Amino acid sequence: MLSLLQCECIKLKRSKFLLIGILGTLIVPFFVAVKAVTNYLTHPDNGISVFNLYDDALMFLMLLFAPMVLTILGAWLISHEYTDGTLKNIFVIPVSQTTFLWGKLLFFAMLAFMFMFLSWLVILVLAFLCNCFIPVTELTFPSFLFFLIKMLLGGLLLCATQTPFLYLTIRTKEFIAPLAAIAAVILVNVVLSNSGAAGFYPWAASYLLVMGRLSGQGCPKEVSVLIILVMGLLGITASILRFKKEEVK
Amino acid sequence: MDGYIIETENLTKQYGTQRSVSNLNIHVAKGKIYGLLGRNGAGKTTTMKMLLGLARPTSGEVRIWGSPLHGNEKKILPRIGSMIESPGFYPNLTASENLRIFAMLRGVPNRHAIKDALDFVGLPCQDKKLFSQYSLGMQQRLAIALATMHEPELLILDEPVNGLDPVGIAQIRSFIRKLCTEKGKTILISSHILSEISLLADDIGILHKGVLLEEESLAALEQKSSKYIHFTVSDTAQAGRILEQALDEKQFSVQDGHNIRLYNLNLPVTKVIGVFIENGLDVSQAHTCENTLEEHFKQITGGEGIA
Repeated sequence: MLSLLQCECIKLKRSKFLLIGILGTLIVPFFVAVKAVTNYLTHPDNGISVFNLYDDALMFLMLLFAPMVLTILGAWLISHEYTDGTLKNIFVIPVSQTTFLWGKLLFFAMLAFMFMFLSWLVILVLAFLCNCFIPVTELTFPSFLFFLIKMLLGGLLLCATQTPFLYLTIRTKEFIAPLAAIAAVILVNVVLSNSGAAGFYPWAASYLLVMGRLSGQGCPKEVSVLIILVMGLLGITASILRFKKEEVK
Repeated sequence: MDGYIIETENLTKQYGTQRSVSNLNIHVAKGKIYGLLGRNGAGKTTTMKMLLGLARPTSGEVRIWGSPLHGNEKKILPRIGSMIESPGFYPNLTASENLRIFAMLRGVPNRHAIKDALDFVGLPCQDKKLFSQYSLGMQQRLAIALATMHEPELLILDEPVNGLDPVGIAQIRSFIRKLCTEKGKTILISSHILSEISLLADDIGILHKGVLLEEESLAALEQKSSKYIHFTVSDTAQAGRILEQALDEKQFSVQDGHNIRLYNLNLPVTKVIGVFIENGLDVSQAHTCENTLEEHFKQITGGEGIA
């Protein structure tokens, strides 16, 4: 498994997809910081707080940006093996389909955590930078630690909610279908995020779980967790079954 | 039978209603180059995929080194090097980076394996050129480097000279020959080019529409190439009657209205021409010919022949 992960790292060399992923994820912290500064300039009474910065960042990341960026990356991680015709070289080593797919999933999870960590880190840096010119409240170690845990939990839930797109990629062997699907999911995220049904919708529920805001949405926390867990497991199982069934073309 | 590295028993592959490979029984002997010859779509690639476990047989069995492939993949496959269809590599990586990935996955212990494999096929190890910038010939050579990097005992190469220019074909042919003679590898190679197979292979299997029509050594196939005397005459029907009635000869075949072949080389050509002329036939050509391998293949494939 370790060699599979090392190989995935080599495969990303000179790949534009990692850069797209990083830039896509970093847009959010910068956007959130600019929004906070603009808000401060128009309403100086509303100061900038670390809580607000991370709260906004988590909302934009988990409901909009991260699902899109991770779907693009996840779909590329799988589909390029089909388009580059490399599976026939891997399976004759032999590396089993299941091991190969678990390697991809693990690497994908590592990327998701890396993006969330990077976002957390950039917000931290931006908060300290802002503090040089504008007072930023809650600039303490416990605040940053609190949000680091939330960011990483967000990464975990994002991975669980990505498995249906993994299945779609394996099914279609390209990334147009998963992209179309995630666009629809994000649209529904926006519509549902403030409604009572959000807790039943795994992608919106992930965000609400991380922020601890499920209680006001009319869906028990356990039900949301169960929905996300079942969807994640179903996605993985369907992906593995489909992948094992396929023959190398 | 003993001594066979690869044996298949009634190997069959069916996609829906289409049968790609039908009851195939091939035998690849140790230390030999076995050429699987067939037109495009004959079932060569499907056969090779089944030999590598990349495609599941509908029925039948693959035995490699005497053991069934199914269930023994982890034991058998590491001892095989393969190249199936077009070379598949990561376009954003260099040749050595690509090989490094597969060396890591294979757990190749030799630290110099990548350099040695690239040297063997004449590709530079420290080159910064990406795979996407490689010519087809370089891609094929890299694929051979990958197939040989882990020092396999058996090589399965599917159309390794496909799409190459004559110089590239000669180079690849030389690599394959060296692998067999210098390194003692057993090689199964497929091609739709008869001349290539006849220049390389020790044994040949002719595959047509998924069916193995013939499996022979090259020497045995060459022996089958018969000699004959070719006549071009004004009327072959009359020539046939003359051969039967005047010369009591039955070993001939009429090709068309003007061409006829006589397989009895003991009959003097001048005598036959003389009899033809005496009976009012015009004879414009008469010469001794050899039935080529290609003609033999045309015959057994029902006249379609091989490129």
